[in-house]
Amino acid sequence: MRKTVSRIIVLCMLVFVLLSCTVLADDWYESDPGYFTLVDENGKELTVMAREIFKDDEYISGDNKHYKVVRVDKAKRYAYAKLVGEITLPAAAGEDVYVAAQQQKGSVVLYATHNSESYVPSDGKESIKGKGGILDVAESFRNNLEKKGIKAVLDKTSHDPHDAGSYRRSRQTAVKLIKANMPVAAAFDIHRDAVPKSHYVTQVDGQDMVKVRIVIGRRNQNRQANQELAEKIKSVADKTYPGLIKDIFIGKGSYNQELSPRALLFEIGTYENSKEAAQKTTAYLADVVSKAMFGGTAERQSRKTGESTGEKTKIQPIDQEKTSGGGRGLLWLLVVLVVGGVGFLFLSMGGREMSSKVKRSVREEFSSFLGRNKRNRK
Amino acid sequence: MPLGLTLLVVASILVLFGVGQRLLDRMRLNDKTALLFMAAIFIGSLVPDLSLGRYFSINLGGAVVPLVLVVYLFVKAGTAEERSRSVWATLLSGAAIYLAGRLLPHEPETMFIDPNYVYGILAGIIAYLFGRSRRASFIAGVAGVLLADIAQGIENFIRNIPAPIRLGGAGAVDTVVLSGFLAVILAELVGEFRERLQGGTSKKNMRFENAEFTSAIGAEEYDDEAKERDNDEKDRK
Repeated sequence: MRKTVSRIIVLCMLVFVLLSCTVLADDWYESDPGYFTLVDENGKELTVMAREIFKDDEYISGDNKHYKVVRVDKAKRYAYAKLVGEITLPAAAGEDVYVAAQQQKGSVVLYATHNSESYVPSDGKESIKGKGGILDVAESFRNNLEKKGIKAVLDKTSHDPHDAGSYRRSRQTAVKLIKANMPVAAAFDIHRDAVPKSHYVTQVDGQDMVKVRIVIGRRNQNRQANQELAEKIKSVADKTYPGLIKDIFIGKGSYNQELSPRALLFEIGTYENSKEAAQKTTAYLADVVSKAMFGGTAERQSRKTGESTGEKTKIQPIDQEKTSGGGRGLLWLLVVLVVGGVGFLFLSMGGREMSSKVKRSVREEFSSFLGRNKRNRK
Repeated sequence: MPLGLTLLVVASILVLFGVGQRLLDRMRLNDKTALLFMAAIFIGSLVPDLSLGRYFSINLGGAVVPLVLVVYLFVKAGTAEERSRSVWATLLSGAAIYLAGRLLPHEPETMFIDPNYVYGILAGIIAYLFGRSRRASFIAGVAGVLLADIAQGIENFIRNIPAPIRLGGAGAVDTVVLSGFLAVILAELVGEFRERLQGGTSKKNMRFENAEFTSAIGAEEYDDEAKERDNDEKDRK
């Protein structure tokens, strides 16, 4: 009887686990729009996303307004966000900027979790098994980073099939890359989005380009540190090539970003953009990443003509800035550890036993400092 | 890298190492052996993967060392029933993990919990209910993920999907290791919670030694708290 009950519980739990999430992904290409619309408190559309939005997700818009999702209407695929403030992007450096020397730069590692993602106008379809157009875009990005004097390494390992195990498999690629290319300055996961083209079309340097969205996972200890890097990249892009970085989304996932405090996910264009436009964009993205990470001078370009406006800004390497992301991540980790440990002790021993054991261990551990205790003297 | 970030990375590794060591310690391993296995997992992670043909490769720290531990725990299992339960739990976990990979949403943000942990939780639930022990949970957590990976490799071969399968490829932070530990944590929590609900262990008259309940007959000493309790009772009388 007990065995039957156990088996029924297992089945119920399995059904619960498997059904408790809706099957939505970034591979919606149906006529039915497969994306969420994010609106502000006044109902004004902020953006659309080919991913499910959840309460407490955060969004930093192109004009640096910071929103937090307060309500989600799953049936209508609408998410409502509240403005929580304006992001102050990292300030420009003073005159004495120290640009990281070649040997101090560290390598930038690149991989594509969804390596079959492709660009319809250039590749013919939105997904090509094992070798999607996204790998060509990642390769262009690698080449453009190398032109900036950065050691960039791209791993084209396939993580197919595109299912719930993709991030588990790409985690192995990321670890392998980090291990083989120490010191690693940053790890980037290259994707393309799946929303209509209009949301990603832009002009940079007088040419038609695609926008880039930065995605950060909020379910890991590196979230703050990674957000600092994302904000720095956006700040440099805003000063040099306005319109290049579309926005920053801070979602519920982890995206393997717990592996490094310098890990980001880039969505370079969408499946309706041309691959060539996405490849061209990587030259500008590489310039921005190089300056944000290793320092340099940002020269503002006119969006329409591509000519310099003469406005120059010194950029300090991110590692020379006073940042607090690492410290906050550390605190977060310790809090989880302490709460988890105390919770476990309470559950396994109960309040009285726990306090007695804690008192006893303190007594024993510190007896040499505090002298013999009363009990021992008896 | 700035000091804050360096400390963060070091702390993350230490937490994983420390929690892992404590969890192994709660199975049939003493402090030193648990420490040794954790060190082997970390050092093995640094060694390049061993190739097992065109489609498969295996990582020393992420798969070989956990597998050695699984075999050790299996051989040392108390009864034939525990062994058979472990096997069933492993097969079911493998099937559930493989199915979860197919059926769960593709993007981490659409899942109620990160994909790296969902497999451990699945293995933990199944292993606890079928295996009823920490050891069986660890066996099912580790071997279940590896079985699901092998099934994926076979599918890739049949469907001509050009993707390699790297068993335990991420080493100490691979889902294989995380899943094994999560399964033990879950077994521990569910077990403790259940015990509290039923008002204490059903093995009150037994002694816990080397991670096993043995008869208390002939036990020469019992812990300080029991002594204190007895003394208190005497005083009250």
